Amino acid sequence: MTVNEFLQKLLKSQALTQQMLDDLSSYRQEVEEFLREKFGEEPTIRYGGSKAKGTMIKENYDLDIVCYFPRECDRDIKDIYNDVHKKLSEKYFVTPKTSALRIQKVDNNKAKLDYHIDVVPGRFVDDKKREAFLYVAQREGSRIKTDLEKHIDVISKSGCVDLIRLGKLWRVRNNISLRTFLLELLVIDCLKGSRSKDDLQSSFKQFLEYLRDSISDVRLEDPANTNNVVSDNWSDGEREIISSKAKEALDIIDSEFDDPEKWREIFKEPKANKYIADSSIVVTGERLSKPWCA
Amino acid sequence: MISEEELKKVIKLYPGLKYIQKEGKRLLKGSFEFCALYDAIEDKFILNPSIGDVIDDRVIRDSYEIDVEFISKPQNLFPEVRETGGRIQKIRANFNITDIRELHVNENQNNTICLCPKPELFLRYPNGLEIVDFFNALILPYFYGLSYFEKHKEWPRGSYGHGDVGIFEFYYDYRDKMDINLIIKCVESLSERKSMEYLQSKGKIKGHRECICGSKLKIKKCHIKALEGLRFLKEDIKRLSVNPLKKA
Repeated sequence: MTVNEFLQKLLKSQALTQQMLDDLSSYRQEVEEFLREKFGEEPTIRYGGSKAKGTMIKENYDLDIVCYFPRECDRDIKDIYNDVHKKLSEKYFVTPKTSALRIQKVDNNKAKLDYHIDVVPGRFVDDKKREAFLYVAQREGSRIKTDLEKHIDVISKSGCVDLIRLGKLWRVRNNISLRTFLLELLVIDCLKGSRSKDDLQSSFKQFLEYLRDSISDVRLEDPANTNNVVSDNWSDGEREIISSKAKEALDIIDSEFDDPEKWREIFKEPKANKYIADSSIVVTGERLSKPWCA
Repeated sequence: MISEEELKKVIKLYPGLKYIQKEGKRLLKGSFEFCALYDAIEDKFILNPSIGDVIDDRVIRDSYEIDVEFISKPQNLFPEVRETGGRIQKIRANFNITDIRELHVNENQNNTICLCPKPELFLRYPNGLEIVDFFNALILPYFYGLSYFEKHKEWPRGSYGHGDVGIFEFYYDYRDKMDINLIIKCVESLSERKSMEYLQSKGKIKGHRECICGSKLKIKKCHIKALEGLRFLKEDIKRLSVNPLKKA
């Protein structure tokens, strides 16, 4: 198995199963129905985040649902945020985040910790229903302009979706604190102009080198709003940790770049062979089939 | 005839099964209990893994009531497998599955389980069958897959489409291993009139033609892999000196 084959299989193993996708769809439907019950047909409700961008991984995924009200609605963005918060609290356990409201189902007075759903309240800037204002909870009276369609477009058409998914897996498995939006922009910035994005092995190494060497002074703007410098809230300490994690990974793969075992190590992928005992029987792929029906 | 040694090997691995000869039937019958792990990266099954206290959601421990019937008829070179405990019907009901073929059960053939496309058995066991290998390479992955399906609503290694679609997909996967006998087996396994029509048509099979699955969609939009397999099979038949289409 080559390193690229290993990385492809790793990505394939991180695809959400049909059951997970069906669950997401029914949760979305449930939340949408609840919001419709409270706010009627006024808001636009749709998937946001990694579900819309195609960058989900099985090991760590949330569901983002945007709930944008039309420009002409008579409340300011803070009122919308608080109003949605209040209504969601009738049914869910709600944790306010910067611009989103994280909801969890409540079961026997306890929040169920299966996975998170983030509802992002907003208000469209104009009738085109693309750009929207979001409330920024930490800063009193503050709002931020964004464009979900633009984000989806930039990321899903960047040619970097597989690398972003690998980056997310590397982040999760190595316990690295790095916001998803930043990670996405870092990958895209690093591979800007690259003609070999499909070569996951070389491209991911390039990404690690970029994190190791350039992260300390990288400046990243929201592609939908250049006034929003998303890297501004990123401390030197956080950058330093990520740089040293990237260096650790590079030290492992640099010695034997084409050895899939080294790559397995940086992604902390468990080896099936460690489970083989004397009494075990191993059946390998060339002897296996797939069920059929006449 | 199954040797005692072969039966011992199977029962040692799967002690819930018993060999029974009754009313002219020869069966391995009982609880098929297993603990197995499938590793998707390395594409391998490990039966009886050493897991200790490790929690790994790839490990499945489960049990099914099954019959494995050995039939001595020329057309039944391979055992017939059935699930007898009602578990498949339960899974079917849980997922509201209307067509039981989605769980790879053939109602028209006495509820036998289709472990793999029929021609694949001849590819896999050209010199006859070692029963224990049949269990480990076909029966175990099927039931592991069924338990996985129950949890994730999909098969861990994927599955072939029903009927002719699956035969063409299989052909696509194994084209490099095909010989004349296997090509004949593939053609003999086809049952749709449309498949024959396409194989006998002149020129390249166009992707906008109707799909063989009966969906009325364009084949390239519906079962693209089957289309590729169909094209390969057609090309290979053309190169043969014997025409299996006449026989079929």
